[in-house]
Amino acid sequence: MYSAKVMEHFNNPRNVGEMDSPDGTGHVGNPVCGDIMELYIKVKGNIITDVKFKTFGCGAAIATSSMVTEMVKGKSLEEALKISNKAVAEALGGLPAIKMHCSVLAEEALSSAIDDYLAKNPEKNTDTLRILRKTPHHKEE
Amino acid sequence: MTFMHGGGQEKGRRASTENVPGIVGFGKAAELVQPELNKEMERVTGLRDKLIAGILKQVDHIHLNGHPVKRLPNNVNISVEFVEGESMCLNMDMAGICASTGSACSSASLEASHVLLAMGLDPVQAHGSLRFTLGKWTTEEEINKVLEVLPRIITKLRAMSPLVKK
Repeated sequence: MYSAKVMEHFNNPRNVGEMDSPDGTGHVGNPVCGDIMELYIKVKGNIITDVKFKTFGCGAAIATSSMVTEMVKGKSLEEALKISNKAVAEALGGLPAIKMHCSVLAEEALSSAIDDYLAKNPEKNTDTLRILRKTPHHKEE
Repeated sequence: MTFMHGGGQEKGRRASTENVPGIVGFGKAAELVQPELNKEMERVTGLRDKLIAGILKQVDHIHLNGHPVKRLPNNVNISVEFVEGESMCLNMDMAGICASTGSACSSASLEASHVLLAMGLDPVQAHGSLRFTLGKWTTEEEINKVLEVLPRIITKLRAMSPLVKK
């Protein structure tokens, strides 16, 4: 059911682990659902210089977490907020329809981490970031 | 409780013309199984208990679902804390081991096993459940393989779990 790319990220997930003093932490999902993702980012200037994740979940949950960290490392906050769940799923060569919600969770973990960073550093929040944060671009399919 | 609806055959218990080949086949299977039934049940129970004891000994934060003795001779169902069932099954599948899970992630309805929930497990325990079903062709070598492979898989998945707090 999973593409070769999904299996690759599942078997060799990138950026697994914790971070000493992350600049932003995103926590999404819940135990009742069966998927929990935690994403940690380090920000210098407005660039995400480092990112780590921990995930409790199925193959798709682990693969989408891994892929989103790979897509976001070295990008600016603006570029990061433009990453949609569809982009994550496409980068993985597609996901079964029933697993698309995992890609939504990965996108939300990222925006949650950025929200946390901006809450701790309100002077870094710009109009661009506010607009990007308000623009919904994720859909289930 | 009727699950096949239609005509009123079998006094309303099961609609549709009887499944004659199925009935004959089941009868023959029962006949074949009779002479070795007790011996086979003993053999499979032994393998089941070896698997249960082995996993519980090697891995911590693990729980056997159901009674240790009053269970089917061939059923092993465990809940592994901090990791999710489908990811364990995928890893085992790659190692050539077939198992299933009561995790929501692996069901078409995205709901955890209603059986496990009815038994009093909470959703997290249901999501981390694994079921092994042994049979006539299960060998001791295969049990040993699971005991070698599963602890490694659990360690690997726990290393990336946000539920494991240092």
